[in-house]
Amino acid sequence: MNALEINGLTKSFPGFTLDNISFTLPNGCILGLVGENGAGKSTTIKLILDMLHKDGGSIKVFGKDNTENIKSVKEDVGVVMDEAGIPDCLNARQVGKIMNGTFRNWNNGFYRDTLQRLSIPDNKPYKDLSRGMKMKLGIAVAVSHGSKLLLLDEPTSGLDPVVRDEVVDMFGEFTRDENHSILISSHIVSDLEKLCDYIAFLHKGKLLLFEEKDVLLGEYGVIHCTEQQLAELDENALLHKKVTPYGAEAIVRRGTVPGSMSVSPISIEELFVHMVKEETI
Amino acid sequence: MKGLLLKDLYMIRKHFKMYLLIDAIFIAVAFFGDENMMFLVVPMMLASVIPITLLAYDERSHWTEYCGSLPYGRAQIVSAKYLIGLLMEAATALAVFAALLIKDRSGTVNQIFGAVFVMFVISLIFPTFCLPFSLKFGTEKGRLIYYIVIAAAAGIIALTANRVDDITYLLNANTHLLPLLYSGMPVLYALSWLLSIILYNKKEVGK
Repeated sequence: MNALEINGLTKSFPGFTLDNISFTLPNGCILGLVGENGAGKSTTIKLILDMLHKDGGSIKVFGKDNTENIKSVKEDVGVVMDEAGIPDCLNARQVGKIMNGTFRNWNNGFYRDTLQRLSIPDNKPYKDLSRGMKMKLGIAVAVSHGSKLLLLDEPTSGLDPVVRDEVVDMFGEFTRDENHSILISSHIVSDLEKLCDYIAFLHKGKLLLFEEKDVLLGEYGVIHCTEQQLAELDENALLHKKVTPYGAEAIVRRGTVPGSMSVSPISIEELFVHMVKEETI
Repeated sequence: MKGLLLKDLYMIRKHFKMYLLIDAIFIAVAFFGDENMMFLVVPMMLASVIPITLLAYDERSHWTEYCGSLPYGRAQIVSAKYLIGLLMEAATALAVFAALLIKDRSGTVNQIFGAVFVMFVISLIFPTFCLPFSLKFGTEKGRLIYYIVIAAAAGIIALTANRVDDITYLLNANTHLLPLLYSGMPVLYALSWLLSIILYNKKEVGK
């Protein structure tokens, strides 16, 4: 079963349209939603949670329509947003009690163990926690009610590299269970590259690409050559090109350039940046 | 809904200590002074703004969005605010009732209960008119209604504060007025509750 199936999802606001988005997150996998600020990542997540009402398309979470079964859907979903949303005056112990009265399957023992493991003080008001601690608390809540799917909206933004690494490790740990899946949005593509099985590129409300990460990395590469060598290449081989006074750089499909040319590996970040630039061929 | 109510009670405990102090002062002034009714209306009015103030705190902390990700129906989210409002007003009414009962030994329990109930009913006006707008448009935009209701409430208090005897006479002379007042405002409160659920169901949370 798929954890998430989105088909033809459309939502319009004045000045922005999320345009006919379709992708699938297989159970047990991690999907990274990559896009610049305002690309539609948060809108997609809010539509999945039925916080925003879609104009068209369908969303299924574990095979169930998200609007018809929203309460039961949310029992299975853990959510961490950029702004965690916990009131400033509450401490972790009080948050645990609130969630105990919220989720049917709240596991207080697991929550307390997670707080201890992450060194989150349970009596300190939320406003006095560091940004990293706040995010970890949000994650502790998200994984303590038997959730099978995590929806993470920019969970690593604003965190220092050490905490980011810890947070990414927590997500890796969550998906050790083969029934656990994650949809994570970020514009910090390096985090997603470490973590994800699938990558979706969103740009100005459109889905530019949705593919398995390994397929993407295997399919595309970068060449560095002269402008003249570039001109001799088949245009169909080129995904993007950049010519400077010092030479040319291009993203190519592997296997479509002469064997004499050295094709370097490409990062997801390079691929994304090149794909959204206007020079894209 | 237990979690939502518990969260609001934690918030009240943290943020409304000053309200409790003001309530205590006004009840004490009413208890030891002569102008008891006027001073006892203030704690009721303060209790009536608690749900809107809680909403403002929710918006500021982004709880409104976070709550949208939790397994609550929209009706439950709205109902929590109406219930917490009723709870706070009932608790304040109880304190006012106790103060009056101890102080005003000349009045019967029924008379005192009637006076407190009128105050309770009047205190429902503010959330009845403000909550639907604040839930739908946010507390910033809902502030317009807030000012209108505050102005109207202040006017009513100013007009009635020194005419308690007249009002009592009027109510005694027209026995149908009291039941109408008793039932009319709670009915409006219930309608406001229903309207809020309808409006909040259509709201785009986190837009």
